[in-house]
Amino acid sequence: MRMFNSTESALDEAMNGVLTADPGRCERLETEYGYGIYRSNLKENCVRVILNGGGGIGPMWVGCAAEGLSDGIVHGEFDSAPNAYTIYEMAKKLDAGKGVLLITNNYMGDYLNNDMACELLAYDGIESEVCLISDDAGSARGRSRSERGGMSGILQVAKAAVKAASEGKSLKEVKAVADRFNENTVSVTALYDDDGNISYGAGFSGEPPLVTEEFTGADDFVKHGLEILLDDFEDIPEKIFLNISRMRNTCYAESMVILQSSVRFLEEKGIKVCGCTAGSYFDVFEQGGCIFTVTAVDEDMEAYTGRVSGYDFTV
Amino acid sequence: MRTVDVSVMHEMFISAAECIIEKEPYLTEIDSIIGDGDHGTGMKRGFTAVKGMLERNTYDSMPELAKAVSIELIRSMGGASGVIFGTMFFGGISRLTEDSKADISELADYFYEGEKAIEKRGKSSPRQKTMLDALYPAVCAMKAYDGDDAAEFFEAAWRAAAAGAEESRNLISRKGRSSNFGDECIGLPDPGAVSTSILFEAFYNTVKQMK
Repeated sequence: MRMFNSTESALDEAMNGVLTADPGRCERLETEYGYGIYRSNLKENCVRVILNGGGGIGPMWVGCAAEGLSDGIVHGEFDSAPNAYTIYEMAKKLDAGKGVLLITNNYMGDYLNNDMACELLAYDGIESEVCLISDDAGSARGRSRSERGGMSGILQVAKAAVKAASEGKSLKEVKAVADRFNENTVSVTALYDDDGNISYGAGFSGEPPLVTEEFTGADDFVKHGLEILLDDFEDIPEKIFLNISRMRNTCYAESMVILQSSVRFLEEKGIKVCGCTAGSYFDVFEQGGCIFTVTAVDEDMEAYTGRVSGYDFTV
Repeated sequence: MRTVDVSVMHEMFISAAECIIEKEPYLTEIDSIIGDGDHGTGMKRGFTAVKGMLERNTYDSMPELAKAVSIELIRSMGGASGVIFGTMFFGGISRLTEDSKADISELADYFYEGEKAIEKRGKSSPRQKTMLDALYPAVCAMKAYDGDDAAEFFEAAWRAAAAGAEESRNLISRKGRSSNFGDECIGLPDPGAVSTSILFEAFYNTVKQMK
């Protein structure tokens, strides 16, 4: 049960709620279909960064229309990619003459609608690029990285891209920063069920997990989750940024226990944690647990990993 | 009769929209098992918008009608299906002459080019457990049809689409969310292929009644 007036009106009302909570921060894009908001008072002469994806997942995407995270967001209906026209209209609205970077998770619907939006923008002479996020280490097993889906890693990519754009970089340069962050970011789901079982790597549409085991404590939970991610890197990274996205049935205190345990585990392995955060960023599962997201960074990248304060959450 | 009038095509789209809306629960059911569950609701949303638009407007030419339907689908649906089914009716528009009717050979080219456009946009091909497994055999049947009867022409398309959708049960998914399920999706038809078959069935039934 959800406290909605109706499922049909929920996303529209939630978007209005976000605007009501913080007047003046954002404006709503006027469209017949689809949902979009953009930040008021954007800095001139910058590449615009637009995040988009399916609707109804934590503060994704409405909460991401915040300074340091994106210039505007577009989302679709629940679990459904936004339509190409709304993405196109948002890009047209925000373009400041330097082009638009669209960032979305790598799913068929998101790919198709962003691809079509770029085509529509090209007709209007607006430059655009798409960065497809593929951080989900549990998906497309045995196949190439480019076939993986995306999860909460998109937030790391978004804030790096926005920082690069705010420095006045060109669309090509902003896209290169985004791609580099995507290539160095991996995520894995770690969920528990009512019988005390933990599963790692399950997808959010029922894709089976990589491993299932009994819960034996938060430290073991963290160790096994992070080991899956570290195994995914060709070389063990020297320095990382850590993001823990807690699911709907996991409380704040649990996420902080997991956070401190994660940092301790990584540092014991000799991996420096240059920043970490925990929150309900991408609470896509109606279960307990979290998504671990690790971004391997070098010095150049570290400059783009700082904390971001939005109105209701910090990444 | 070899030609289809724009008013008949208009009725065909309305009837197709009604059939998709009616079958939404079944489409949702299969997509919830092997996809992300948005196919049925997306198709219902898109074709409800199309139906409303068609009931409010009249169209003078075949390309005008085809373009209006495609754009309404893309605008209202979202998801992969919005672009794919929009492209199905948009991709071949250049094959339709600015006329209030179309010969079936022209329609065969129109649907054939639509199929090719989906392959290109989705970087996919038949046999990957997608809607192409119904659409590709349908457009081949249309190209191969050598009679002179529009109802027979759409009947051939529908039968090929239905057989293709049925056959998609045996395929392993290579595209989209369902590709993560591997062998587990064997036994279930692809929801997009089922929708394609429903569309052609409605087209055929409408043309048949217009005889």
